[in-house]
Amino acid sequence: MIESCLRNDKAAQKLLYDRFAPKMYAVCLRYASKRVEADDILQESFIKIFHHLPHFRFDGSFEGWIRKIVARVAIDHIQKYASRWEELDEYTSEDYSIVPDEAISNLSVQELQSMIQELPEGKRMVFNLYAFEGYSHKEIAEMLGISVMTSKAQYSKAKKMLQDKLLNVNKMRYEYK
Amino acid sequence: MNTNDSIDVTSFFTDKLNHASVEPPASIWENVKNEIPTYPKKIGNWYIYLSAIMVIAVFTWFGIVKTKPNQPIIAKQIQQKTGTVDFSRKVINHVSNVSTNSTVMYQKKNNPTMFPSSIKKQEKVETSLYQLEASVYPSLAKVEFIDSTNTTIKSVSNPVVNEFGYYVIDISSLKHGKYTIHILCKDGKKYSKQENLR
Repeated sequence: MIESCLRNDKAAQKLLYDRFAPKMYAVCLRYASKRVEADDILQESFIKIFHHLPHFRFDGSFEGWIRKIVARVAIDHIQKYASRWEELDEYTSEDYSIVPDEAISNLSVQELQSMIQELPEGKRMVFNLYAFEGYSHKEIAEMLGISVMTSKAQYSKAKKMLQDKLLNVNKMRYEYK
Repeated sequence: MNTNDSIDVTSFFTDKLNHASVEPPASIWENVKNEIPTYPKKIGNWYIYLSAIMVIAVFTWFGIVKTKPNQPIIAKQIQQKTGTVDFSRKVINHVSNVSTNSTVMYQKKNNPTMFPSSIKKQEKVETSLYQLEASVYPSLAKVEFIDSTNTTIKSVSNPVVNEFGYYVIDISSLKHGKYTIHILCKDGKKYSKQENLR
């Protein structure tokens, strides 16, 4: 498919987009705070993907390669348009866990994505990079221009906020019942 | 899922969202497709191989078929000079065994300058040549090589002067050893000397 894309086969290019765009759009939605922002990130990412396609070396996962581009574009986009997020000095290594009862287990993808989207920019970026992309706090610190401690603190706070959101969902559903 | 077990918040989100897919708005593709560059056409490997073979063939044709028969004179001279250098070194080695006032010169290897007509012949034949300067012996009638048993091994009558002013006698048939060389001139003069021919 990649070879066909490089031969300027329009159908193959559309096929490549159709195959990877939905997965990448889900990634974009996690990074963005609004849907329109996710749209911009996805569009910019795919333009970059097609421009850099001749440089793909076929020595690793193509999806992984795409995902890295999307994450990079998302970070650049958020850093470019968002206000500078606050730095936290406090880092608590508390264990944030939940008991996924029926209400939590039944949360839809969209609802879970919304929870992440509602996180403040800094926490959202660190949580995405650490939890989903597998970057270390050192790498995240370098990427975002923050200290390792700040990255850890942001991640810790993000987890706390997500835990609260999940517990709140549970509470609300029981109250509703 | 076991609802009684607590799980880490991160694990909960990654498990649920890692492989999530959301259909993007159709307008995004419309914008993306207009920005896709036109990639340069890739040349197939067969084309590269064919080009390489053709280049080699052309060079071979020019190098072997064309140039060799019409080898430039300068190239020929260089080749001859190169041959002369090797040749000279051998001559010097050998001349050291001959008396310094002698006008005769022994050459182990054939001199390309003596036989410029056939380069192949020079390479092939390992002849030893005996040279006598024609200006010293203008009317040479006979040259004899007599070995230690007093047997005439080689006798050459009326040798011809070559273009460089030397009588050149092929002594490749002679075995290594001490020889008495007699030179007989047409005016009746005789010369004789002993030499170790190697």
